[in-house]
Amino acid sequence: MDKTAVLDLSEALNRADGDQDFFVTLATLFLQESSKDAAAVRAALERQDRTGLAAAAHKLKGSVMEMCAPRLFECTKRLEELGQQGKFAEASPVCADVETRLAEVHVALRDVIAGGFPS
Amino acid sequence: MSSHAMPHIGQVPDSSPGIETPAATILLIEDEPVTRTSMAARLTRLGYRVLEAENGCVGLEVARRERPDLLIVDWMMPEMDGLTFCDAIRRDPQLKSSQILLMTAHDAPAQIAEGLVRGADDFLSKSSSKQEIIARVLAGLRTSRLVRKLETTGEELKSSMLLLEKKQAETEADLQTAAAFVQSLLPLPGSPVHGITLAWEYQPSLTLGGDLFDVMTIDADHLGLYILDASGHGVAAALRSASLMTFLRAENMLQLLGSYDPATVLFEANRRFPLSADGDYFTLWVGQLHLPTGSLSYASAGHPGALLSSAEDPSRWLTTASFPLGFDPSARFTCDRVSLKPADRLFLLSDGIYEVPSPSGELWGRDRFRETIDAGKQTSLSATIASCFAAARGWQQAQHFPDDAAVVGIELTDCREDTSNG
Amino acid sequence: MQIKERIVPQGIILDVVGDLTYAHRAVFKAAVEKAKQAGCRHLIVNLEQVRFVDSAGLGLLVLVSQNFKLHQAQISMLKPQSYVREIMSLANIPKMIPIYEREEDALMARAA
Repeated sequence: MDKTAVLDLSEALNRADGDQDFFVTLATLFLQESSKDAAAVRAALERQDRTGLAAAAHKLKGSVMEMCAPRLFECTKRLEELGQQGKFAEASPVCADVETRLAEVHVALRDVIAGGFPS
Repeated sequence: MSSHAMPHIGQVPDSSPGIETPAATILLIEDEPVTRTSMAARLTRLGYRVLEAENGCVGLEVARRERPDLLIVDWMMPEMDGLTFCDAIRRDPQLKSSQILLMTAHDAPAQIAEGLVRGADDFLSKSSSKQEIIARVLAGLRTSRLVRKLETTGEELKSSMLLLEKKQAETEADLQTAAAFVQSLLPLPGSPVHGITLAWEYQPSLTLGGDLFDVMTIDADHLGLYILDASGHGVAAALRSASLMTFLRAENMLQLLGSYDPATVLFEANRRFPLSADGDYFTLWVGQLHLPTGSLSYASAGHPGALLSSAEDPSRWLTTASFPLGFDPSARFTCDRVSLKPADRLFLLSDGIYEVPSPSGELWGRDRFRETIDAGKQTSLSATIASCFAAARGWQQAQHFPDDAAVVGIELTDCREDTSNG
Repeated sequence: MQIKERIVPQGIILDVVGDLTYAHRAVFKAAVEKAKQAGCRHLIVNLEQVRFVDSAGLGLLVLVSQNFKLHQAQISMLKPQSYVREIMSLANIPKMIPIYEREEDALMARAA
């Protein structure tokens, strides 16, 4: 997997057994859930909640894996680790990074949902 | 790649939905909705019936209700995590043999070890390829089927055992009833007729014995007595004995033969109770005592005999060599006579009382039995009989007799004086 | 109980060791059946090593004797110990199954 790609669409579609409609359903679900998860991540970081931060980042990481978004996945994973270690100072920029990457993925997914799959 | 092409499904699931075999049920427990929806869809596409739960608590409820064939559980979950869920399943008597696939992003050996310790059967990485998912699920379901088959077999065995125990209890109860019935046929100790004292002791080796005896009034002047011994052991022998006992009833003999003449009784019994196909037969000793004179006529069919014990003389065996019943259908039995005096005792016995081995294998034997009888002349009839049982038990150093053991004693009180006075 | 089988020109000798009782009837039956299948005309049961015969054992001997007679075959007994002989005598067995003290005599009996 190209770790620099925003979205590995072919791999994501493969995970959905090539079912485009189902992928759209998953992607729509992801848009909702990941926003909530990102908010939870931010809130946990602000109240310096180790467990909360790790759990929220873990949850987000799981759904990101389904979408096959490698860059977002890597920084979410890093954030989970920092949460586990209670390194809030280091976590802060990573959290910002996660939010940026997530926004990119959202854009890419909305494109696919609205415009269909690139052939 | 062509996004429209249906990907190749590497393996057909073994529980594909169909009319004949219902699809295997998989319970998927995962808190994260995207992962859960995705995995559920993949499993559904593979042909399984998929149940979903968003946390371990809900998962436990569903598992108890649905008894799924396989549980796929996320490791990290709020409320109840995967490991705690495994613990709960293994503690639940109904669910403890469930197959659990622990779904995880972890693959560190220490964590996998912990998962195994806590009760997971296998692991499934969240990033697994479809082939890997199929392989893990198939393996889990295969184990699940085997475990369930074992459990069913175990339960069937258990219920068969219970049924068998119930049957055995019924049989034992039937035997007790039969034994009580046979006991009721045996004569009452005491004084069956004026001038005669009767005492006996009987130790069947099993619930239902095959050695039976009777002492009965034939008519005003005659007392009939016999002891029979069935070869072989067990219920069949006991039943044959009860049947011969019924045949030997006084009314039956009088009706059939007009008397209780011992030789005639044996002749008739010999014709009617042939050697069985298994080589089973009876030995029988029959006597008839003429009460006014004390004259005893007796005949034996292969029976080791009766022992006559008189006050003055040493006791002696009353027996003749003869075939047991059924050995020779045309056999004739000779009748012998002996005169009994007041205070004389007559003992009928089964060989089970003296064919008892000592721990070294030596039999107690007829001679020691006779010596015990002679030694008991000064004690009461029942005490003498009791001393025989005590001596035999002492000899074999065991309470339980290997074969039916019976000793029946009658003692003449001075009957002639009574009759002459009356 | 153990049974060893010896085949001699005049028949089959069963050397019985142990007690011929109810508990061992199956072993004895099997040995006899084997001899019968082999077409044995004279079965000699050697009781020298038999300490005790119970009523079931006696019944078996008689059954075998009757069965052999039906097939114009014969059974004999060899060297019973005194206690066994006493039991046999009480049941008049010697009138049905001949008893021999010497193996040669038993073997001669059939030939005669």
